[in-house]
Amino acid sequence: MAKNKNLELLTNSLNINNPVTVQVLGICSALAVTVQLEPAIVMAISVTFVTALSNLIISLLRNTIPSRIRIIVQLMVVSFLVIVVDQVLKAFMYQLDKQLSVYVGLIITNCIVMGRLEAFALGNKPLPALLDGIGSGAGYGVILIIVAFVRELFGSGKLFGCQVIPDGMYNIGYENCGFMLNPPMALILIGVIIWIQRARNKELQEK
Amino acid sequence: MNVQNNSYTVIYASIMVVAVAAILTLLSFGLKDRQQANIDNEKRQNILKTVNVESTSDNAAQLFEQTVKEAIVVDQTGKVIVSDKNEAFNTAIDITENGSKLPVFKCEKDGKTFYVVPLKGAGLWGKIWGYASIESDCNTIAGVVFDHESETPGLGDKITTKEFQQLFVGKKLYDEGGSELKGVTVYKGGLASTDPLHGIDALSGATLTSNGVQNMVNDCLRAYEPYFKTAK
Repeated sequence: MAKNKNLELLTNSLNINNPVTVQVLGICSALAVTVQLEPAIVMAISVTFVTALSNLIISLLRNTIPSRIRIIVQLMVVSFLVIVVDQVLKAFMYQLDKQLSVYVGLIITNCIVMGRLEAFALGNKPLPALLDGIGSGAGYGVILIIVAFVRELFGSGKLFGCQVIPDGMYNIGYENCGFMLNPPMALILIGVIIWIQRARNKELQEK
Repeated sequence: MNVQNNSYTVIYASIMVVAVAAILTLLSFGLKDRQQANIDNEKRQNILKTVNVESTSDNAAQLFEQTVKEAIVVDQTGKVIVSDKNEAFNTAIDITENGSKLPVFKCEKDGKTFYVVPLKGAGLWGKIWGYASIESDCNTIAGVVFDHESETPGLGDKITTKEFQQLFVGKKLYDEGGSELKGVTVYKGGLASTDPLHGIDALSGATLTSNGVQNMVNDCLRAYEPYFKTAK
């Protein structure tokens, strides 16, 4: 039973409790970094790293944190992890870090992170908290990657920066959809994903 | 122990702050060299880009050595004050009237000489900077790159695009008589074609950023005027 519950923590976020499509959190960065797959994947990994480790750390500290300053303590743990991510990216993936620009720093304000800390990590043991963090980050990441895949494929005819739509297609009049490269299209795509998900899941439909 | 106690709260917060600060300091020290190497490589790539040499972060250092024959720093009178390549590379441009520090990178490509100079100015929201390469006649702009700190996404940040930077290629610094340094002028409403020697089309929706670019290019190049006179 306990095993199943742990597994659910991981899988729920991917589906019926997805942070982006069900809880509608983290939309801002989902619009900004999904023009290409590569930054989207790096962002997904970064957010997963931050949600997982911050959940774990807060859960380990949960009995020692004075409740009056708990939000500040949470913020500090989150900011600490985000700075680690930012510094590592600057050292090892400089071009990508420039592309992600402010959005790495803005992981601090991503509601998913603080939301999971308040709602889950403060009241649960370290292992479930870690799994919940990984699940939430992955749930966010999956949506990011789906949106980025569609946007890069139809917006610039590429995947991971390599051309996949053959020249022949362009010769017979195919054109890239420039609108895909603009943030509004990401919002529309997320809307479409929410629509498909709700149509298939009876539980998510409002009466 | 009572975790809601005032003194416990204060001690808890203090220990937390010190611990986090210590770890981050160590991390920052450990990664500093790598980060600086990345920043230097980007600078090399930007300088190479103004003379149309495409490079990646892997071969930037090598291409830089091949292309940049000489790097010096001159002062406001055009006198050379630093002639060491590395020191010149690490010198930031300073155009204050007395005691200017003006780095010049002499590049050679396909048998032609170019003078690449750094640019520094203010955009709408924050700093803007870049590099410009001038042909050996010390009059024609051969290429520019711009970058910015915090210009408006989608409007002012277009100064980093190739389309905008391409507009500067072939523009003249001096007027037709060749006596007065005019530099570039940005025009609103697509009127740049009325001034083929100096006109640049402003970015629509980003007038103040465009003006910032114009002032940056003109102010910085004007500072180099004494040097260009001696170089010609």
